[in-house]
Amino acid sequence: MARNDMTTTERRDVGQEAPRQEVSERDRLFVQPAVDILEDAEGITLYADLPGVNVEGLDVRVEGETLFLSGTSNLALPQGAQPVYAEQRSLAFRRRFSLSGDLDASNIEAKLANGVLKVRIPKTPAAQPRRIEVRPG
Amino acid sequence: MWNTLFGESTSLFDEFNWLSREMDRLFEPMGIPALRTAGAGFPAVNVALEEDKVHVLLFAPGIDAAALDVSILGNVLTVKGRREALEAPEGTQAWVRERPSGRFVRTLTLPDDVDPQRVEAQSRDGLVWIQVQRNEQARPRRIQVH
Repeated sequence: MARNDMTTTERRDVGQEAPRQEVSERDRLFVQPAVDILEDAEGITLYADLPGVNVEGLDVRVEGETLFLSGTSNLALPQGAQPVYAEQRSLAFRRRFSLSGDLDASNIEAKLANGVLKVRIPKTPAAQPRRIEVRPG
Repeated sequence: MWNTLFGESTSLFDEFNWLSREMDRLFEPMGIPALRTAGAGFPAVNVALEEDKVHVLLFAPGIDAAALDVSILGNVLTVKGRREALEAPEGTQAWVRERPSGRFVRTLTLPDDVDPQRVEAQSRDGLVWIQVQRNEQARPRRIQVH
């Protein structure tokens, strides 16, 4: 799975000279995917809309306490096609989320179906509710 | 490649007045008509033109192709469908809800020279690609001056 560099391409100080090396157009502009985030007793489930992205174009990563999502569609229109209207400004998606310490980042599960990514992040055992058995005394 | 196509200009919309006829009846959650907007709706739409074809891209993640109703009448393309809201079972707290859901209808007026008999649509990974052929008669023809 390709590692996308999330930190260097998205921000550049104003006035700073652009680097000489070619930056692929695809990496320059990206949009934040819409997400739903649900929490239940055992963990958090995140759904992200990534239309056009398949497993090969998807990267889900945790670094420290940050969850990174990035995905790129491999759709290619014919060379001569002229864009005349675009509500979707980019086919490259990126977004990052801070993970709370209650979450177990080592047990993340991700599934991608029909352009929707589902990420399941369990809570650490200590953060999960524990039912205490009450015995008649 | 797509960014080269769509990343730069912001005023394209103004330049193509056939698109200004686009009617958006977007989400009508709870039966309340959405405000008409010229901007993004759901599914988001991109359009690109070739000499012999119009390409329409619909960004419809999580919607089965079978659940999408795509039709064309003359040069008016209509897409109808529904995306189910995420179920939040008992004991679940929804912290963020950005993903649109509900019924949608999007209507696009395509260039006048499209041939409604020759339309192809394919769906992959929540992206629907519709290709409409344009009539040859409507293409520019060079006239020889003697």
